[in-house]
Amino acid sequence: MSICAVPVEHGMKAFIYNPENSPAHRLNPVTKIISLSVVFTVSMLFNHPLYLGCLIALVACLGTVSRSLPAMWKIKYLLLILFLFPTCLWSIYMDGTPVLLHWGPLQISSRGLNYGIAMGFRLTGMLMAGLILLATTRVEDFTAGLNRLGIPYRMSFSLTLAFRLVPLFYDTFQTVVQAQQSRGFILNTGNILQKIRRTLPVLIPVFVSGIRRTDQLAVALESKGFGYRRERTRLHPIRFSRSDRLLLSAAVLFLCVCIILRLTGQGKL
Amino acid sequence: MRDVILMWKETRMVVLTAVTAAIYAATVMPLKVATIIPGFTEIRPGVAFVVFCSFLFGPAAAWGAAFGNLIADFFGTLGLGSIFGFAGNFLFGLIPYKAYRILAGEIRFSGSTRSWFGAISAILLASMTCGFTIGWGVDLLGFVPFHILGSVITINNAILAGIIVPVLLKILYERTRKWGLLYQEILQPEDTAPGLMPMPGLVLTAVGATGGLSLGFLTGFGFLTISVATPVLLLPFIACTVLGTILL
Repeated sequence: MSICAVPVEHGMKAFIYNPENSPAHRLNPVTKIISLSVVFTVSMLFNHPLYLGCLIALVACLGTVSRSLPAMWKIKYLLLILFLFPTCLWSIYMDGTPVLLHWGPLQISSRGLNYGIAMGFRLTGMLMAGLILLATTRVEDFTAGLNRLGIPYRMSFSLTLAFRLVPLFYDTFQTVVQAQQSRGFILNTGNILQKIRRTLPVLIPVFVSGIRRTDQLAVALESKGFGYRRERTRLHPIRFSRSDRLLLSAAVLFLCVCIILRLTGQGKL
Repeated sequence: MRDVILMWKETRMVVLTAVTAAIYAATVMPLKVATIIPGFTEIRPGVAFVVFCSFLFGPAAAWGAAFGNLIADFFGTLGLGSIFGFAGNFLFGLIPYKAYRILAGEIRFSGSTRSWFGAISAILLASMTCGFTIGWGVDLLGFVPFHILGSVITINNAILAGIIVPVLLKILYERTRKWGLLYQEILQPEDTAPGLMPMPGLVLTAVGATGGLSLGFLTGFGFLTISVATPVLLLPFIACTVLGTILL
């Protein structure tokens, strides 16, 4: 099973999209974007570690159904760091009682620790939900979904084009670095200021190479009728299926239950 | 702010937005000098591209910076924080060319002493606004306290852009002008006209960003005790910054 979104012929394989045929892959991108927004909203409603822990468990179940766990596994260390960082930071920064640990000017309270864990869960849960979207949705479908949600066509097209150009410019970047290395250039040496200065001989050719394509790209687009008509037809029209309606109903119901829980004082530290 | 909307009718501006976003995303990730806050912010010289492109491509660079940040989030860190990353980077690309016009008193970069003063001041203001917006948003979401992320992003952006952008301007500005890719040459003059009240807008943006950062740092680092949550305390400054940017 491979994990890639950008064409393999370009050397960059860092996007998260996982070409599978799970139920989540077959959903309308609009449904997935709205469901993601529901997860984000719910995670903002609560600040209790138990409730946010349950939300993470739910997201992990969705990850299993959508076969996105390999994508999550791919960035496991990043997820771990992103959980630990807010946990440690808020534990130290937030005052409260009872004090669990006292070390010089630093103290960790039970309230601070609970809040820190909750914030760690909130951030990790959001990222995991985002990963499911990324692992199950092609860039073109994502931007088509944004377009359907009211983002103007030219804007969503520009975003799609940017996604397509990233591997191209990344390859240019690699070529420039290798060419300069063959002349004895070492990118990552010296102190921070020297390292910053050393990036200039790389940044300039990448920039020049990039903007020289601008006119060619603009002419190519206009010769294919870009911006000729306001009404547009689609090569791959996106439709709402029964599964989309079911998932959206479940998401709205879940959101309502969470709002009621929150209004009755649940899920708060 | 008319130019931010009207630029979309020009195909070359659409392409320049995509090119800026792609170069930003393609260089910001591999060119990492050091990590400051794991997963949140690193010293990445690629951020200087945003400010440099702002002087050249104007509104296309603002959208390009926002899209580039979103694309970088597509490598695994897409979350609610991406909205504030989008907004912060948009302002980071928008403010330099808008502020430069007022501070330097010219549209094109000429290389005079006043134009250098305008460029450096615009870089500082853009860095502060970006750090303030993202720091406020991330604190609002509860991920990282404002004073930690706000200070790191502001200093990081200001130093990197302050070192790299002047060199890029000196080497590449004239070349890009000769290729006819400056936003003033692509857009119609009426589309690039300044906003409703540029000078009051600049003052409001500066007051919002500097005031918000200062108050956030004073309370965050314990020099001032106010029993109000930081995001609520800084809300008037955010409103001030947004209003100022609209008027620019």
